[in-house]
Amino acid sequence: MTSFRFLHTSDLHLGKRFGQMPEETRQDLQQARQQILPRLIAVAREHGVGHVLIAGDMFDTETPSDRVWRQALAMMVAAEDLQWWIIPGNHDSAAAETLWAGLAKHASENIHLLMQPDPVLMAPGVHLLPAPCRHRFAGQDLTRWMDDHATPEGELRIGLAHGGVLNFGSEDGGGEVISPQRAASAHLDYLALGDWHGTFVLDPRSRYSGTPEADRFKHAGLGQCLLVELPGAGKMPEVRSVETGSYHWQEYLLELTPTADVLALLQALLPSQRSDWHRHLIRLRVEGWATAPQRLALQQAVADLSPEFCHFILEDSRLRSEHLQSDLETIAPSGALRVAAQDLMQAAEDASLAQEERDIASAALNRLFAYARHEDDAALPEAAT
Amino acid sequence: MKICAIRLENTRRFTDPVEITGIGPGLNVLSAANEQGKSTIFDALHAVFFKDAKSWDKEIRALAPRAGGEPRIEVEIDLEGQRYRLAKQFRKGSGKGEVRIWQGSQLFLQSDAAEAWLQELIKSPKDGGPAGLLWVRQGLTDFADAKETLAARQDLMSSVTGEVDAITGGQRMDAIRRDVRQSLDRLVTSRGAKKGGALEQAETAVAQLVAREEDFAIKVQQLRAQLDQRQELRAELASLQDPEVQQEQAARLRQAQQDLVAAERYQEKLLSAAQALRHAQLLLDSHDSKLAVFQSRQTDYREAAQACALAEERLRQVTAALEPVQAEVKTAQVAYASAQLQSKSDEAQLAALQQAERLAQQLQQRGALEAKLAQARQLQQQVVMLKSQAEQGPDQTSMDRLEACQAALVLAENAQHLAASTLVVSYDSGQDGGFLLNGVPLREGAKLSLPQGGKITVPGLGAIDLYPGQGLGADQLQRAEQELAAALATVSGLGGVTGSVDLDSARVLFRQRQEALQSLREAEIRLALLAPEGVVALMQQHAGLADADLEAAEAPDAAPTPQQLDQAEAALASSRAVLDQAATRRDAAKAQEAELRLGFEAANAHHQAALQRLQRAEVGLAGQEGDAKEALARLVQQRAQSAQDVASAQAQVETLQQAAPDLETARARALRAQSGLETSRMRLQELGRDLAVLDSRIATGAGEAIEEELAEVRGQLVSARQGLAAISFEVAMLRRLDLALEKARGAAQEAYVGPVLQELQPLLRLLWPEARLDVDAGQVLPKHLQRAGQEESFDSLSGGTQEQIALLVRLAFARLLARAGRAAPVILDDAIVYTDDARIEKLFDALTLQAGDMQILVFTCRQKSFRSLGGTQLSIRPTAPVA
Repeated sequence: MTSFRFLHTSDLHLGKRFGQMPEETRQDLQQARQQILPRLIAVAREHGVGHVLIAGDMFDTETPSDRVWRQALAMMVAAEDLQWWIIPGNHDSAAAETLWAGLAKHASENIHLLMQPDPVLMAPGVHLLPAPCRHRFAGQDLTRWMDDHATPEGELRIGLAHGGVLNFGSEDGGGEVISPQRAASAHLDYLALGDWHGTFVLDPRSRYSGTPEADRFKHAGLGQCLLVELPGAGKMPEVRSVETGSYHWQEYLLELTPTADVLALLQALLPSQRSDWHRHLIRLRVEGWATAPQRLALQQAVADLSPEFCHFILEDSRLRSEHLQSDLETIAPSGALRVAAQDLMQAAEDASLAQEERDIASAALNRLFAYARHEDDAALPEAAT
Repeated sequence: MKICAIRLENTRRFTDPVEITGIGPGLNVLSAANEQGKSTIFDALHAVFFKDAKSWDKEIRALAPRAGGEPRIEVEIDLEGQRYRLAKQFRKGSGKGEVRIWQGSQLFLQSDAAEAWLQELIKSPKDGGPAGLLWVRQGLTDFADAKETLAARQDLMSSVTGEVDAITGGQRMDAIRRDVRQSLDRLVTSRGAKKGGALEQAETAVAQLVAREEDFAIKVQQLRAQLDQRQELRAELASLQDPEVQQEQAARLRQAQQDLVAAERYQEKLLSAAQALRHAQLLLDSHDSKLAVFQSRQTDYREAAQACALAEERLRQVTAALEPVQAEVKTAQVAYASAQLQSKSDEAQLAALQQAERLAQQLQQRGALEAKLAQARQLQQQVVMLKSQAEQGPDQTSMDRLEACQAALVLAENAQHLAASTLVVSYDSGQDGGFLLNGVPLREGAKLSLPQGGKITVPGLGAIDLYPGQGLGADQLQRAEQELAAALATVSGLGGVTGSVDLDSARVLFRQRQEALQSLREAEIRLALLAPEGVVALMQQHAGLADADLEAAEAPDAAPTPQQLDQAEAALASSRAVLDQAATRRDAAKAQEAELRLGFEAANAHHQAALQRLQRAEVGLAGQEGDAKEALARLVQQRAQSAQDVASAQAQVETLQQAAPDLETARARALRAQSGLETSRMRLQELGRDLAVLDSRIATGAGEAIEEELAEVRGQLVSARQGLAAISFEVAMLRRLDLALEKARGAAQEAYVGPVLQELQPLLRLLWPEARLDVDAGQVLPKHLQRAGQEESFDSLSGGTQEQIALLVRLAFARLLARAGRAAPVILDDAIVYTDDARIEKLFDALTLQAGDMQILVFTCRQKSFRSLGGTQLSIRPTAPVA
């Protein structure tokens, strides 16, 4: 038999709203998500692939809006040259009868909704063994049945499942149930897995494709899908990633010391291609110790640069303040301002006080520093809240 | 810094150059009358130090002479042992003025550099320098909030601003505090989050999102519950529709129904056996009954035969006794009939006699009644006639009225007579009767009244006409006559009276009427006696007697005599006695006969009953065939057979009962199987309906994408909570910063006010021993003066006291500055206005005391009072124009 090629993808999470994001960002992300299927179609056609396997969580919820699932279905129906093999995941489990019944009602012949753990023939000599999630929390290894199901000797066996593995962990904590040895025990040529939003190689025959469009900071980089080629039964699959995402989700850690050059460190972290910043979502976690000038410089830099990004959030709750005598000199060499600054500094460093109280005093001192600098230099912007 | 000399030219009234020289380091006094230019010098000094030479503003223009000219001002100062001369030439129009500074004889600085040097030397009040110092203009010693005095206070504040700022943070502190407060004000008020502010918006957003999240969570929960329920229902539906389950149910029903049929058949068999047992039992009971009846009938027959023989004997005895009694009855009846005939004959005789007597009486009675009726009719006619008469003439009322009128007339006439002239005639002898009154001779001595007048005639002589006068009784008499005439007129109209009537005829008519009335009453009484119930009743009574029978009866020739009647009654009594005896005999015989007949009837009835009982006993025995013994034996044998049949049937029933299936159980099973099937069918229908409803609800909920909404809201909520936390932290941080600034500022103010008070205290005691002044640290204002154990508000103090305190406070500040090495002159322009002479001496002491190490310039118009102040006396003198 000749080799068999297909696209392996999962976790499209169509309909995801990104409620925690600001309105503008949300719109960008939602639009990008709507473009997943066209990009997958384009990738498939570009590589001459006739089959697309979606290993669960095609939709973000069990009750997506009619608009979401109807539009998705319409795109797949229109791509007549592609065969879509879809199983429910934990987010859109088979318990969502209304959703799946609606899909089935409007689906065309090239769309295969695999609602039962029964083998299907994808092509002559190619058997697909699906493990659809019947419920949000499966509670058992839905791939177990694959071990006991035999197919004709010399024909391809492809598993399609959604969920975490025993030593791996589910993305949503939805049950660590799939055996990591399933590909071997079930004699699968390839086990297409979903649930993990980043690409992950469990073993040469078992892979998580990751989401085609990233949706969280946990997995850095663009979303992608896997282009899989099975040379023949028992032979090692040939797999390569194809980028499909529009937005980079990046989380950076910036560790500061009172002597660090904040701006230089920040510049070094940020993506080098500045013209591409609008496609980046950045979460900058700043930790360590910073002086008031450093903090002010950081805040000003972030305020200055963040509008160029699709989204930029500064997470500095773990950044502690190092208050220096020189900072107090900047505020006032003597007099009441100096007294106030010293009072705040003392409170910030008073170990007998509650941490929250200390944090407030520290922040107040930083703000006093910013005000003093503002008075000294009217050009300085007011510190960001 | 100390001022050594001042020169002015073209400055207000000083168009020509003047100068004040010899200004010493301590106390200097320029004492001059008003309008001598003291204030001009004060303003000129102020312009030198505080106005740019290039300015030509209102203040500088006010310094120019009225006649025109450009002010030029020079001041010599001593600064740390160096003598400097400052010269400012103001020019009309901005930017043209000049400033130069000489150190000794060398030009030291000029233009902008000179201004900068001056600025540094003595900062303007705006820059917080001490130069504003203690320059006190006329009447500006008050600390009240008037506009001008506020400016003075600002001067005072600014005079120490540099020092104060060093301690309190100055304007920088103010700016920062203002920023903090503004930031806080944008977020919160004293009562919480500011309406429309970021904090309130964040709180509102969180609250709204929480509400939305709860709402969506509930909807999602409901949707999930509906999905779960639908799954359960579908599972149940599948289970119910499972062919195996349905077949099992049907098989269970069939088996139950078969078991029920078998049980029912067995039950019928058992019932049949029981029926046979009951039949055998009944047969046995019947045989028992028959045997008992047969034996009973035998006994009855024997007893009936014996009773019948006894009854026959008794009947025979009664019949024998009855016959002679019946013969006696017949004889007595014959005798009674004979006596009865005789008695009836006698009764008829007596009745005929009595009838003749009654007829005679009735005829007599009718005759009397007819006579009475005729009399009554006559009386009746009389009554009618008398009634008519009794209505003729005047009645009692009319008559009473006539009589009353007559009496009134008599009284009137009498009255007239009494009032009329009286005539008494006396004749001469032989002439009696010679006078005629109305033709009638008058008697001698007669007294005649002449109420109507009259005519006295003396024959042969003539006549005398007498006319009555119009006395008082004339009208009365006339009225009486009219009333009488009217009364009579009414009488003439009464029934039966025709024509006019006078009183007398009226009286006759009245009497006739009364008599007729009396006769009527008598006639009515008589009629009532004859016919008490009326003539009609009398006529009816008469008619009653004249009935046909009486009319038809033949009147007896004569009425029977009493003897005849007595004889007839005696004969009747005799015959009735005979009849009674005959009746007694007959009744006695009949009674005896009846008694015997009753005995006969009883004996006969007893006999008949015995015969019937015997017949019944015979009939009862006649049903048995053959001999009675045989019949009895046959009956006994039949009963034994029946008892055997019963035992057999009983055994059969018991056998069947032991093996009988439970019919009720079989029936319940069949019913349950049927019910289960029916329940399943109904449940299928219910499930169909419920699933349709659930499908509809789920489709609606799913179409609304509520899970996506919930996820979105939760994301927004996380973000909103983070935002709220950040703003809350910002508020806490700003409050903390504000608190720190407030606290530091307060402490600093206390820190600088303390030294001021320390300087002030000795000065105060010069005026008021043991006095103490409280100063508002923030506003640098005196608040209270405590003296003689009492606290007095500064505002309540007199103008003089306020003035003194104001001056002392300034001196204290000046002392503070001097100690800080930044001594500046104190310049007072008529600053002591209200202070009395006694107190002013003490103020002078204070001034002298302070002037020990600092310069004080006093401008005053109170030349006499200030003479005792001492110090360097200054004067304004003309001088040569400045080169």
